[in-house]
Amino acid sequence: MLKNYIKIALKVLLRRKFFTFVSLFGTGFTLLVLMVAAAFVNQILTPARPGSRFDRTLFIERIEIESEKMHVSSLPSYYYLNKYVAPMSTPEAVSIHSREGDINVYVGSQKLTLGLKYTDANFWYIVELPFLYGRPYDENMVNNADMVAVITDRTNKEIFGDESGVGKTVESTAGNFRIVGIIPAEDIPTKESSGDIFVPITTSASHMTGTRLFSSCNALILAPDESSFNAIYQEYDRRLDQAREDYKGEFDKVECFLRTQTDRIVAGIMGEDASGGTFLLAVELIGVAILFMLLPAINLININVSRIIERSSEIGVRKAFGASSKVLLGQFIIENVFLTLLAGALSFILAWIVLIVINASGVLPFGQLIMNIKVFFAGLILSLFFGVFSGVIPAYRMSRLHPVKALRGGVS
Amino acid sequence: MIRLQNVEKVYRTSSIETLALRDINMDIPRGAFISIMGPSGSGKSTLLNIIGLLDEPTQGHVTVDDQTVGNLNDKALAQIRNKKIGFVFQSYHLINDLSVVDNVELPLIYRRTNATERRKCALEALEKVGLSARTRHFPSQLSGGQCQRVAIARAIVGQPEVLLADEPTGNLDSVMSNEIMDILLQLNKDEKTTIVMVTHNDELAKRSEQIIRLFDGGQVD
Repeated sequence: MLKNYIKIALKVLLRRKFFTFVSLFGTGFTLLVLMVAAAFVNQILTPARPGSRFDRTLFIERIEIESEKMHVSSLPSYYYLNKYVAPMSTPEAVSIHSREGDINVYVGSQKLTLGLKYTDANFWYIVELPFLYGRPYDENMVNNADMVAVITDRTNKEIFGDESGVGKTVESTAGNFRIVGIIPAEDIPTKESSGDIFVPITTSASHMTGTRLFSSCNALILAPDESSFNAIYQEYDRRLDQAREDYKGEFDKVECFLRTQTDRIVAGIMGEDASGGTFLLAVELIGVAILFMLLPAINLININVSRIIERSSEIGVRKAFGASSKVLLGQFIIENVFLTLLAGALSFILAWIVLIVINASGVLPFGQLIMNIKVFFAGLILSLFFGVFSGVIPAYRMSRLHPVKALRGGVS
Repeated sequence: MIRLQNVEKVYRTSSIETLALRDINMDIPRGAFISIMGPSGSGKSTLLNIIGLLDEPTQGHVTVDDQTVGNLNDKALAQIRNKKIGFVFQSYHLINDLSVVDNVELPLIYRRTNATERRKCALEALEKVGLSARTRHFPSQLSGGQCQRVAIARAIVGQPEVLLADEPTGNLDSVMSNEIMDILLQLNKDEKTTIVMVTHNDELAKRSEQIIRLFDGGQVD
């Protein structure tokens, strides 16, 4: 019977070409937008590479200081992070790195403006990037403030063309650095770890000598596993209390946030002080997604009603020859699900093409948008939701049609 | 086989009541060939729909093989229609998206007959109505007479005990009408199929065993 339903569905689609186009476009385009949006959200919330250490990494990226004379909300300084965070015992590793800043690099007579990031050796352990050539700088090199650098393959191409720059020196306004490794730019997982050229943080005089609590650094804190997050939070709170104690007479408030990747995104959208922010954000996102899907679904209900009304004579015939209302309801729902799955399949292909185009355009400064299995299944569930939701109301109405009225082609 | 007792059918709208059938009593014995005649609006099609369990009487009882059908639910009525009754309509009511053979298979789909058996029965039914050469055609590619033969094949494919034909020759010329009538008579004679036919055509009606005449919703003889 299922085969027969699908056969009919296919024939109806081929016969009503305009309806088919409108239905496929309505459902397909909505799903396409949702899937591309899901790929963006997925890229932000989860590491690009499954199993990456980012799953168990916490972030410190904002400090707030208040006194009678000033209020600062900024990035913490190397001084603060090195004094209060680096000595923590509960994490597996702590990395301190600067925000990406512009430097000029000279290639012959040409000047390139590149993003420079100062990092420690642990940065490479936590970010876990694959090296195309060479290797990362190690702890000794950082401690000795060696003038070494890791660059991305894009930077390498701009400076050295198709040759590997490993072992060569790059001249910049921040100094001359010997290149020790090359990483693929597209594998950099997040905005915070992005850059064109990475050098030891100890080569930066301003970071090393400053004693303010705020400047332009972040910290990555790698937990041994996700179950140890609480222990890290507790230890971090004690460290923060110590900082407050140390600056008691100077500042009325010292707040510095330690967050998971998801909490950072939530805080960015809902505000730093949002309580229960993750839940509220999830509710808001689901609400927006449902509203977004509701409009085309209502349109599809209308289209489906018209389409099924056209087939009232067929409903009458089927009832006359033994189809019960329930069987007909099943038939129409299967037809809708089939149509929506077709739209889903088309939108998957289109979304895949769109993501390839976005990735190839270089619009994203870091990472890659991917159609992973989560996005695929989310799309599939959305497709089925669309099919059932837009089909069930008209299908129910028409399946209850009186057989004599149906045979006459009437609905009322 | 089918018995109607004191059947009355009233169509109601918010302001009008129309008496379509009144006090109809009839027995349709197994193997009979009955014609129902009467002017337009006399209730012929309504009566046929009630006999075929497509419509329910406002008053009175319908029994099929001694089973009262008034209290049966949608599913049970659908099963009786599927197993015991075949329909032939004036305007054929073939499904245009399906080929001839797929149209004929339709009643067997709701019996959950397997695909091989369905196809075999459908081809046999088409052979009986002389359309073996048109199995892959679509209704739009057939003449009126051929469409009605397909409709008859669909009605008999499940070997129903009763075949209800609502003006089966109404859209056909006299030659085609006689051919369709020949097929119905043959089914009645060879397969012992009970046939109830609504017609305006006296000549065709005379070829059946019994004629029931309706006027203004009532049975006149």
